[in-house]
Amino acid sequence: MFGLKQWIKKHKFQFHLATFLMISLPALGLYSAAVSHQVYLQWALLGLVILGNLATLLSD
Amino acid sequence: MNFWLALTPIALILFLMVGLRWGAARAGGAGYLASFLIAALSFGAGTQLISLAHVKALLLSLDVLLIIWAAFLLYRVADEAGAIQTIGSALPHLTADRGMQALTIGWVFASFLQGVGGFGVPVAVIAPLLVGLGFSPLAAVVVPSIGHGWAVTFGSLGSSFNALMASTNLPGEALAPAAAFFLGASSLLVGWQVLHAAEGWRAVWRLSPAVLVLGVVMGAVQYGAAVSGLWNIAAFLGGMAGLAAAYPLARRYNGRIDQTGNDRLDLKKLMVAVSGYFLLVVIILAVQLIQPLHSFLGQVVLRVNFPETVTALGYVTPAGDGRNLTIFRHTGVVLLYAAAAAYLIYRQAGLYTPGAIDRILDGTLRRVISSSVSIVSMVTMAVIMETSGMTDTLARGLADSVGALFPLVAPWIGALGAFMTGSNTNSNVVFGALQLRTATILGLEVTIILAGQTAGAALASVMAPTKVVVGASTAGMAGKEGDVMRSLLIYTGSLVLLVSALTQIGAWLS
Repeated sequence: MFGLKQWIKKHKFQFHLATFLMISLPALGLYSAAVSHQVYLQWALLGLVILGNLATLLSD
Repeated sequence: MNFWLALTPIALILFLMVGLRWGAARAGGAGYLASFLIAALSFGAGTQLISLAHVKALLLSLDVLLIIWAAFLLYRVADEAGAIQTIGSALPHLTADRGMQALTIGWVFASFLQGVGGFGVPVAVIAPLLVGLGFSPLAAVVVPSIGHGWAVTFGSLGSSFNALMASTNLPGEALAPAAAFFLGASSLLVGWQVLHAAEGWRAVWRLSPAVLVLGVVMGAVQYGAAVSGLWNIAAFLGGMAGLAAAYPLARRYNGRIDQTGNDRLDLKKLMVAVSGYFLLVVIILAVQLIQPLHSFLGQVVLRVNFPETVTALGYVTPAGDGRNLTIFRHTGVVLLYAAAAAYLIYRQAGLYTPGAIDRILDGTLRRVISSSVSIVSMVTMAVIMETSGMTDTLARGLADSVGALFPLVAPWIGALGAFMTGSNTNSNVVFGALQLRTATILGLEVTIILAGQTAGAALASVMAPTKVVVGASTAGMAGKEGDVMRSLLIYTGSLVLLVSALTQIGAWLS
């Protein structure tokens, strides 16, 4: 955990860029998944957003 | 019970940012996760509702982020060319009177910088300038901090105001008048506070006429621009008008100016530096006022139609369009045109050293990426709360407990939001819909309440811990942020109190 935090501290920009893409890009696929009631696809995409937001908790 | 659950994501962000000093990106992620869980488990939000909330949030985020990205790019284009430093260092040549220096640099120039840049730039640029002029480090941080607050909502090329429009889905024409009036009225008190912080009560009495002139000019120009639909450059125009008015005033309160040797004012260099911003005004006015161009650029619109959603508890969000984005006429894209044109002018004038374009783009990306993460997280949290009925529950609880006194409280909610999230934009995103809903339930004029929200947030945003840390570090006050906070608390508190009173009076009159 400490090693991961050190890595994030060292690569702050790349880390924030990756989390930004994770929390924003899945929404592009969520509209069609939602209107066509594809529940598994919705959860897969929402999972990515949740993961991205969880990742932000590791930043400073 | 539901009221406290609905309050949890907001309270969590507040606790994490203020109590544990987490950054906005990190706290925003926690707020998002809390809202997601509570909406799904306690408010009956289904998968489709939550998915659509994410899509709506992406559109709203894009609307705000485009402006933030482009505004900072424009600032970097000018800064890399040395234009900001040139304009800043020209100002002390106007007067040797310390009170007037505090007004022209710490108030007027700070407002101008907030109009074009924001993001903590006014304090970061001005604090070292004031220290160099002999002001105490504490005054050097406090003066520009107070000085730019009134210009925050319509500053940063309108990003906070656009966030208010996006989060409430109300047109700028409806929101602008009351917001611009409250902020314009505050600007006068800001001027006196700047003098008090810099030189004490004697300067306040001596330079009151100058404060009146500058405050009325800047407030009136910002108001006029905002109600004419030019809210994206309203603070910028107010700052420009202030600079124009400051020139004869500075001559009136002259002091003794030493203009010898290397210290001589280079007018040609100054004109080139200002030309980038002059271009910005020309381009924005052309896009707004030349009808064929306006129509031509408005042809491509990103529009998404959302179906009706209902929670398991029966809370309905009607079907309708989300935020419409007029791509080539969007303020952010217009700013990109201005940034490109300004870059060409500065390059033509030979103001760039090799590798400038890389430094501009790299600096912009590095500066905006963290705030972009926090904005997407917080906007998504706000939309989940809105569509799952959490915001409605909060609004009903507030309406029941505060009742008719809500107008007095609304600006403090905005101020709290700005303090905890570090920005007027974030506060408007988090609390805009809540304030709108509460005002509707209580039968109050929503534009007055939302004006109180954004004005309170703008004025209090200056004492957000993140901004204070930046300001303190640039003036050699690192480690003494507590002193800056204490000083700002009195000034900012009285400004929010003024807005609180104005909101209550506005609610009575409407």
